[in-house]
Amino acid sequence: MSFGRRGRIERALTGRADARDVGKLIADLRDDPRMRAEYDRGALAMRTLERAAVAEVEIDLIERWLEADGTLDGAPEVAAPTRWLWIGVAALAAGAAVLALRPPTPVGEPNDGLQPRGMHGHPQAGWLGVSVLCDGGHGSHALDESSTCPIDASIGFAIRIDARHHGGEHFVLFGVDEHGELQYYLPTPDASAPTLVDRDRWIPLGRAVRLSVNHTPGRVRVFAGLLAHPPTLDALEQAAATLARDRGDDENPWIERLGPGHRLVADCAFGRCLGAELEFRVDAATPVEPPI
Amino acid sequence: MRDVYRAHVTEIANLLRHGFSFESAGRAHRFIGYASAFELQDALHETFRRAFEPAARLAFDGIRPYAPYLRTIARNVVLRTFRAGREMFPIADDQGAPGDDAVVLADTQPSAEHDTMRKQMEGIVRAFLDGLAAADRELLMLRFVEGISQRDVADRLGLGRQQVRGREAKLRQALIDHLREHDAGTTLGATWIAAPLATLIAEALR
Repeated sequence: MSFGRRGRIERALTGRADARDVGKLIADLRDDPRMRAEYDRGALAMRTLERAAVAEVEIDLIERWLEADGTLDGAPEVAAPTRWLWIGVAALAAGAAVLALRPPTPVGEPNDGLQPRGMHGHPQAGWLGVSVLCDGGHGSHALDESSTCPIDASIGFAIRIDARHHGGEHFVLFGVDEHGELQYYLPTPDASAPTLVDRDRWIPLGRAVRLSVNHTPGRVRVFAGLLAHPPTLDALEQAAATLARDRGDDENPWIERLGPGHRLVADCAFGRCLGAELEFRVDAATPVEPPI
Repeated sequence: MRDVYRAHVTEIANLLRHGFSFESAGRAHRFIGYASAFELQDALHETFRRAFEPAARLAFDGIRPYAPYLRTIARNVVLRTFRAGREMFPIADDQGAPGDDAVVLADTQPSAEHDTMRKQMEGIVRAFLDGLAAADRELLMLRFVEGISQRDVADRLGLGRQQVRGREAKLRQALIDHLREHDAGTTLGATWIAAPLATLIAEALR
């Protein structure tokens, strides 16, 4: 059993689990009989220790579970942004970039810079957050509609998945520039997309993209999704072509804008998939400072 | 709703743990309760999730007793669990008259299987307790033998509640470690506790 799984069991059985642990723990327990057996045995030990039919830690865990799925209000809020968190180096063949990630704002908060367009008022608003970081060699900043990144800089990505999401796990991330060109981020022809199972924390994606390689100055829309099936490059290209024609005045999430018949979002009905999007602008090269 | 959950969860958990008898088509049946902690928690979660759904909350008039209503939902959750494989148990409507739980008869005595599991685990836990320092044993005695809350234990021991919570978490972790050490030399833990639900369902003809 992996260290992460064992850790989740131990936190649950010692009363230290929070809502962030619950989604993954439950999914693991459903899927893994060996893990379930270990968990059950530990719970029996707690019941015996407490001389109770059901241990206090079990009662607490179900309360966290009800918080995590939205049945009970008052789930512990994610800490509001207090500082930038430096996360290290992400490398791609094109080069490396030092990325700084902004800790998340509370889930679903209106006017959140990370709030994807089309998700305001949506029941799953804020469940998938995407952050694009621009590193121009003189510090990093998160990009949004009002900010720019110079063409000679690199961008990196981080995403965050709400613990209430129990649907598709297959991640996709791509861009469409103002000329309708698809920008592969994940998957690419050379790299498959990861399956993401962590919840309620920002996950830095181990990629940096040097904009000068494939991007041109202008607006870039970035689309992130958690899908029911692994995204294929063909389906991705079709989706990008459709979204390139999208004028952006439809307030629905991009997954819904594609429509149920699109291959990329197959089996995404009933909130099984999540989508997020944002845009930023690529500027011309940073002016070179004249030597002093 | 959190207060409602806290007020009723122990009773519903005990129902799911110890089982209940019910009648169907003129015959008496007995569900002997979940031995698997996860299956119990799954059913317990589902019970409260259904009870707290907006439609269910609107359907409840707030006058009739809530506990019987919850027990009916819990019963239906259990029966739905194995109804897929055994189309033999009629299921009452969750929205049906709260309090109409005449078929749900909670048993207060654990089954023989549960009793056997409990006794095996008692030996392991007893050995764990024997190896603890006196102060740790005192804390656990206060908490789980005398049934005193963390807050009151903190007052009695002159500690902060967080200190009590932290010490208790460490002791639980130590018990898990002790259990793993014990199980390292036996296959017991991976076998009897993983018994499929089907083997835990017993029926007795009246």
